[in-house]
Amino acid sequence: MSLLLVSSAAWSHSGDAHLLNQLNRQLETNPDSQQTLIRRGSLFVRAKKFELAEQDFSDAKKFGDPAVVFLPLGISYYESSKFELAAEQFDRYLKRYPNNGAALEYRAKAAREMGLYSVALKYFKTFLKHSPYLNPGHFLTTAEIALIATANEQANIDAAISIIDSGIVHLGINPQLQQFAIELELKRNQVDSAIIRQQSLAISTGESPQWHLQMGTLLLIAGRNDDAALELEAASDKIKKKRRTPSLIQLKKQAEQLHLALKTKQP
Amino acid sequence: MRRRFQLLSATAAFTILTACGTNNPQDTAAVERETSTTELTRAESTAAESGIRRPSRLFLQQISSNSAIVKWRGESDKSCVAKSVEDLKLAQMCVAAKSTESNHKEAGFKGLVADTQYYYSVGPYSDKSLFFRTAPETGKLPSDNNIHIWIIGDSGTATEQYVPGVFTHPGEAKAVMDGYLNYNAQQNDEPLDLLLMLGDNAYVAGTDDQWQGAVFDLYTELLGQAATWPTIGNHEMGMGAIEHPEKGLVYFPGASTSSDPDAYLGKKSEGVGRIPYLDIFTLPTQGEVGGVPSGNEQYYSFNYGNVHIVSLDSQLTARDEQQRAAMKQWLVSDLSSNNQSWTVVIFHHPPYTKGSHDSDTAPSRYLGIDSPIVDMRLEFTPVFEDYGVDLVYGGHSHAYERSFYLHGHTGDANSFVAEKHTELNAMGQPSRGNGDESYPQISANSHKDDKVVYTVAGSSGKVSLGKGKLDHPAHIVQKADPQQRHGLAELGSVVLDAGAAELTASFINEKGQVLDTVTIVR
Repeated sequence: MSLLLVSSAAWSHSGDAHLLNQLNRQLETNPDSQQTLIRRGSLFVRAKKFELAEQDFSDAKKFGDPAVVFLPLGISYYESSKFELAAEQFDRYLKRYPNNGAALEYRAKAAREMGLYSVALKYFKTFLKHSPYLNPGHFLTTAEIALIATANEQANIDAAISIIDSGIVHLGINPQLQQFAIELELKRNQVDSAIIRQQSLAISTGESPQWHLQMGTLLLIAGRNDDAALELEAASDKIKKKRRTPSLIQLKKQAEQLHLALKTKQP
Repeated sequence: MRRRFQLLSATAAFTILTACGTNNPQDTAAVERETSTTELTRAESTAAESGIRRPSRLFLQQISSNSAIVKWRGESDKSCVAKSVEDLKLAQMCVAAKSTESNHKEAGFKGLVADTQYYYSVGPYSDKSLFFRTAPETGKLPSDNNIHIWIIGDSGTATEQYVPGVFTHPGEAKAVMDGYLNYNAQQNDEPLDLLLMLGDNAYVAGTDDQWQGAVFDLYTELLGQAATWPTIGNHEMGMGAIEHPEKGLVYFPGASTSSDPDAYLGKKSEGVGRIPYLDIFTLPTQGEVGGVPSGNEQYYSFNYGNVHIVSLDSQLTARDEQQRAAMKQWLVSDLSSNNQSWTVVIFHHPPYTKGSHDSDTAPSRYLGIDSPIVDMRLEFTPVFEDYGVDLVYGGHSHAYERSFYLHGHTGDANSFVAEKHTELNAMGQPSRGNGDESYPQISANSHKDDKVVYTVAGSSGKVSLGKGKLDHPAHIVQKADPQQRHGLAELGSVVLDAGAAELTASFINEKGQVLDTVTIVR
C-alpha cells in the first residue's frame, strides 16, 4: 500500500484536498478496495505524482480484475512519457474492450510518440470509426499522421485527403478540413480540385476578402489570370468597406502581392 | 419598448387544449407526466389550474431573423407559433417534433418574419408568457434600436452540494437573477434578446438533473422568451475521468482534463458517457444562424442583428493541441468573414484573472485543470486583437474583473505594462472605458481596431476568491470595491446593450445596482 506523501495543502483546486482526504479515509477502513485505489492513483496521475500512482495501480491489480487497471495505468505511463509501457497496457485493455474510444486514442498517441506512424494511423482510424462524437480536429490529427505514415509521399497525401473527405461527409463542409484539403490538393498538383474545394467555402465564408484572395491565388496557380484578377478586384472592393484591423492591413499586403504576381504573369 | 417579461398571474392563465388539434385525454395525461415533482413555477401552477402543465424543461434555441427552435422535454409531439395569442388557436404554423438525445423534443420553425414577436405552444400547452421575438435582419438593429443581452457565469449554484442535502450557496443564483430583473425594471423592462452562459451553469458536475435544478427550474420564464447560447465550463464535464465501460472511476467534479466529450462522468453509478451539455443544447454546426460552419457544437458562432457572437470551447477542444489548432483556424475564418458592427467572444477560462483561479503560467499549469487559461491567452488573444473582437467574456473565477482596452499582453501579470498594453488617455494614463473615457473601436493610439476588453464574470452564483487577491494589473481598479482592488467580490451578472454606435456592458449586482460600466463607440 502506498504511503500518502502529498500534503493536502499542495492541491490548488478546492475540491482536491477534500477528495484526497476522502479516499485516504476510505482506504484506511477498506485497504483492499480496488476501485478506491484506482481513483486515488488517477488523482496522483493528475497531480503528476506518477510513482505514487503506479504504486496504487500495482496494488489495485491484486484486489480484483487486473484488466480494470490497464487503462488508467497506461495513461499514467503515457503522461510520464513511458510510451512503450503505456502502449503495452493499452493493448491489454483493448484486447478486452476493442472499441473503447479513450484506449484507442491513447494507443494511437503512444504509437505516434514512439514514431510508429503507421501503427498510430491504424488506431486513429479505428478511433474515428468507433467514437460517437467527433470534431474536425480528430480528422486533422489522423490526416496529419497519414502524411507521414509510409515512405510513399503520394500515397500518404491520397490517404490524408481520403480521411479529410470522410470528415467532411461526417461533419459537413467546414474551413478547418477543407483548407487542409486544399493544401494537400496543391501538394499533389490538383489545382482544379483545390479550386472546387475553395468554391465550396464561398457561401459559408460569405465570400470574404480573405476567401477572394485565396481563390485568386489558386486561379493564378491554375493559369487563369483573368479570373484571378476578378477575384482580386472583388477582394479589394470588400477590403475598402471593412474596419481597419491588423488582419485587414495584412490582407491588403496579400492583395498587393497578388496584384504584383498577376502583373508579372500577365502576357 | 417592444415587449415585457410577462409573469403570469392567476387571472392571466391561458391554455389552449385545442390549439394544435389536441384535446385527447391521453395527451393531457402525457402532458401531466411531463411535469416534474419539484415545486411548480408560477406559469406551471397557473396552467395547472386548467389541468395542463408546462413541460418541465422548455427553452429556445437558435433564434435567427427567420427561424427558431422550440425545445422541450416531454411527450408532446408538436409545437405551433403565431403572431398573436388568438391566431395560435388556429394552429396554422405547427411543426411536428423531432426527438433528440436524452428524451428531448424540438420543433424547428422556418420562414418566420424578422424582428417579429411570435407566441408559441407545446402540444396542448400554452400561456401568455410563451413568446419570442425573431432577430432583426443581419446587420440591422431591432425596432427599439437596442440589442439587450444578459450574461451569466458560474451561475449553477442552485444545485451545488458537496455534502448531500447541504446547499453551499442557497438562493444566490436567484438573487443575481432578481438583481438583473430589478435593474431591468428600472430600464423600462428592456426585453431580453439573448442569454449567454459562460459555463459552470449546473454545479457540481453538469448532470442532467443539475441542469434542471440550476437552470431550467430557475430561469424558466427567461428561457422561454429568449434564445440561450452557452459555452462549456469545467463543471459541465462532470468528474475527472479515466473511463472504464463497467466501473466508473471518480475524481472530483470540475477536475476533468479530458478533451473527449464522451469521457464525461457524472456519477459513479452512471458510468462514462456523453457530456449532458451536448445532449441538452442544439447549437449550430453549419452556420445556421450566420457565422462560418464549425462542424461541431462545442464551438460555434452566430449573428444577431449587428452583433456577431462566438462561443469557443476552452474546456474540451482547448485541451488537445490539434483540436485547439483547428478551433483557432476556424476562428480566423469566422472572424475574417464577419461584417457586423460588434463582436463578442465567450469561453469559460479567462485569460487574465487573479480571483479564485490564477491566470499566471505556473499556477495554471500546475495540475493541468487550468492549462486552458494559458493556452487561450497565448494562442487566441492575438487573434481577437487582430480580427476586430470588441469584448471577451469568461467565468471560472468567482468574481468580477474587467480589463482595460488591451493589446498584446500574452504574458503573466508581472509582464503587464500599462503604457504598452492599454489604450491611453490624453494624460498618458490607461483609459478606464467609461465616463468621458469610452473606448473608440478604432484605437485613438494605434488608429486600428486592435484592442479588446476582457471580462471575468464568474460571480453569478457565488463569490469566492480562494487565495486570489483581485490584483491583476490588466484589470481596472474598481471604484465600488471597498478595498479598491482590480475587481469586485460581488454577486452579479453582466448586461450588454448594443446599438448602432455604442456597445455598453454593465456589471449588475444582486441588488440591481450598476457597479461597473464600459462603453465602446464607433
